[in-house]
Amino acid sequence: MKTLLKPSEISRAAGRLCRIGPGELAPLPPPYEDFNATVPKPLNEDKIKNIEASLDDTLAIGIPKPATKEEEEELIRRFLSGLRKLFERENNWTFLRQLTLSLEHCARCQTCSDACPVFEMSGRQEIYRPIFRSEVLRRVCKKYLTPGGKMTAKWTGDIDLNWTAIARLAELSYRCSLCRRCASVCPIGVDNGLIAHEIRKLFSQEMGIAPKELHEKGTVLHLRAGSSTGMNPLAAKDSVEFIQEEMEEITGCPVEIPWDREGADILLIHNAGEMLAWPENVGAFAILFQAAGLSWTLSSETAGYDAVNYGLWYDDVQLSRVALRHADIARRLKVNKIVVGECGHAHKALIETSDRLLTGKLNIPRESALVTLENIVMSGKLSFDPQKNDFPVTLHDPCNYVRSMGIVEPQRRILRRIAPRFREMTPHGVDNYCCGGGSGFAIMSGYNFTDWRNLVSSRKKFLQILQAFENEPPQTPRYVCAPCSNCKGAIRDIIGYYKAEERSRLYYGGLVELIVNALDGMKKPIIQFGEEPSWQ
Amino acid sequence: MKQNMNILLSFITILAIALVAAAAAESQIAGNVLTGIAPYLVLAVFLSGFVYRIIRWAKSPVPFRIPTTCGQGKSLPWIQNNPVENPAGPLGEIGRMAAEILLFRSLFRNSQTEIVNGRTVYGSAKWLWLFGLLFHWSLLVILFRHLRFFTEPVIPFVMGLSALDGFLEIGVPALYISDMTLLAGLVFLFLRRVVLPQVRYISLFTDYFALLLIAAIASTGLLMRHFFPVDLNAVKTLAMGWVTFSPPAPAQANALFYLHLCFVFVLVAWLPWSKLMHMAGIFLSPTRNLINNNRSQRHLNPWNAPVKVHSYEEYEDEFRDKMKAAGLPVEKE
Repeated sequence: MKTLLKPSEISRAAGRLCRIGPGELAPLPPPYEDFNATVPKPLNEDKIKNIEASLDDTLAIGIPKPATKEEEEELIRRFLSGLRKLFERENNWTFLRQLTLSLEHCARCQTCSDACPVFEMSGRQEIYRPIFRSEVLRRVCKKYLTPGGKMTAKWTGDIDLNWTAIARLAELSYRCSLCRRCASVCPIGVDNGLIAHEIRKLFSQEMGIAPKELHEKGTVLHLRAGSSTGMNPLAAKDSVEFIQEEMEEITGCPVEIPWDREGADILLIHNAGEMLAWPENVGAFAILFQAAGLSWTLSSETAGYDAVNYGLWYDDVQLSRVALRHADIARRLKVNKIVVGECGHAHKALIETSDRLLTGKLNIPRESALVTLENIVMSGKLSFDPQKNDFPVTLHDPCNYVRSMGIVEPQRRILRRIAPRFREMTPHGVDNYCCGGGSGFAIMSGYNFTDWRNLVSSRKKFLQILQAFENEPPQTPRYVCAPCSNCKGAIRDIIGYYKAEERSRLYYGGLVELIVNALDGMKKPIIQFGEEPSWQ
Repeated sequence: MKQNMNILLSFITILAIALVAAAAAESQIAGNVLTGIAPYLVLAVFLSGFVYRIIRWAKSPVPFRIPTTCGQGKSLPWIQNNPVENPAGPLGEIGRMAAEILLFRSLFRNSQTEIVNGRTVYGSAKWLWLFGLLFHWSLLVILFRHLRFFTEPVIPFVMGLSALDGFLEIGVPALYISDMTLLAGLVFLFLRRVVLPQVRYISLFTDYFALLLIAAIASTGLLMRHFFPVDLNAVKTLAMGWVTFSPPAPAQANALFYLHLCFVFVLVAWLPWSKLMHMAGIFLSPTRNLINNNRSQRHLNPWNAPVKVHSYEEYEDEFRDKMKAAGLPVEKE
């Protein structure tokens, strides 16, 4: 048995703190045994010469090594001053109580460990244990922020604070997908996911350290160009025009996708990734809204056509900037409500978290697309032929819907109505597992992070999907319904990485596509399994 | 091994406290301090620490509703919601907190995954829940039973509880069920920390110490009850003396009783500064005690610093003449 790594080693151990050996990851069932010995591609040593890469086999941020001793000391100083700010109500009022409590009253029963998919699937690597990073932060706070902490450290858990520990802690905060599954099993309500989030925040707001996919190419690009995909308003309009033509082939009649219609009832904001990667999702919304006779519009203003808000994952300031932009666009369009498309974190960010920011005229009602869709499907206004969805379907629950907002039933009611071969995963609903792409993982692809995600953080979801379909005949196409762009991205990558389309005939897509696929009066199916249409 | 050091250190600390207590039994002055001054000192430390921690927690802002939602939230009228696992109102919230505190609902959620023949199997893992619940409830019952030393006449509820607790009527004096379940819980919790390498590697001195301290209190108590009886009347006189702020001089020092007392004092004084404060923290935990009405109710943020607003209208009122003179357009004439 390997000796178990202790939190204090984060500042001591030389080299990489954790290496996953071949065969250590949780085994996969046939026909995927050939992946059992696979580990993430080794990092390119030339590329990481000047990068802090001492945590594990991958890199999420890639922090440059400080050039001089002075620079290093300055970074340590800024970390400590940021850490102090984290506990001051003037500087961090957002989650202060939860953070303080989580650090102070954890009874260390370790229930959370069994709830964490990353920890479990990694072959129980100690550094991925939910409390590992919390314990590091807890000890640093106790020792360096409390009076007399240095004297009691021997008893309450010792740790040395140096640059290595700080750099490792920064990387480590990006090995948790903030799914909050651990928080829901904690007997006293400690939230380790929140602790990881606060660590990310400290690094971003106080030290300028964040993965470039979230910051420079994320929120910054989003606010400047209009979308974190880099698509400007013209490009967005272009791609929607193309989607419109595609959809008309499916319906056999004109499809209208309205832009900037002032006074419409609904402003629909998609995750702009849909326009590029899953155009049929955007199209299906248009078909369904048109069929249901809703008054709605898209916005072509900068950021008005991209619902994402990466700030939710790492930076309160960026979160606020994006949320204010969204609400202001809706205010100027004079819509009655904003409907957030199939995007989990955008739901949480715009509907719930930014509620405290949007006052006065900016407080425009915001609704989940799942609820809008449920309303359309169950209203009886439209007729559906569930037999068109005559293929096995399972539902992936995005964590933000179920564990952070409590939207559990609408999506299921829809599926029970239109997908006769719907089956649940085990476990599902509020006990679901993360797709492995949560909190930005799905869009982070620097170095070999995609490998790590597919092999470690998405592994649990892959197992769950395979198990949901295990009694189906081999040639049947299977549909994983994931009503969230981020989750779809992660599931697309799982299917590609493990060659699951060839081996298990796994396909994936959103919820609205399934609805339109069963809608009466369509000329062609919107869902295709490769080249094969889902109905004739 | 560092971990074994932690266990050893905890034992040594317990022994040291025991030695101090035993020494106090030998000395008249120390005995007087222990029974006359220490109780009030300990109580003062406990109360001030407890209040300090609670106030600090209660004062930190909770602007966001961040409960973990463990069921369907309140939504459209025809969608069945789960009022307890995802409370939409105060009643549901009280239900949720009650289930959490009285029954350890969340701990009951704990599951364990195993891979059996290459297949992931989800099993239940309820042992920690069971023994945790036993331990905590026993502790509460024992605490209540001790009220018989502090009230005169003894509250009927306490008498009833003691009678119920000892209804098996094994031995004289009757064996209390709660004592046995407390010991069972302690043994489980301690062994779990020591035997499971994954739990032991991260356990600290304070984790073992808390368990051992309670075990020491329980065992000295049991020894006094069943093997080396103490003069209960003297104990009652002493306890009543504390309550009425007139502690009598100890009649006859009993080493076992002093041990028991010393351990209790250490526990009570240390509690507010330790992880044992989860007994109060759970009530304040925002992932549990918040109603999930993010979308049905408006929550304004009371923690923002007041912003002095100078609106354009006010600005124009103030400078209208000057603006006109400079030829700037104004909204109101």
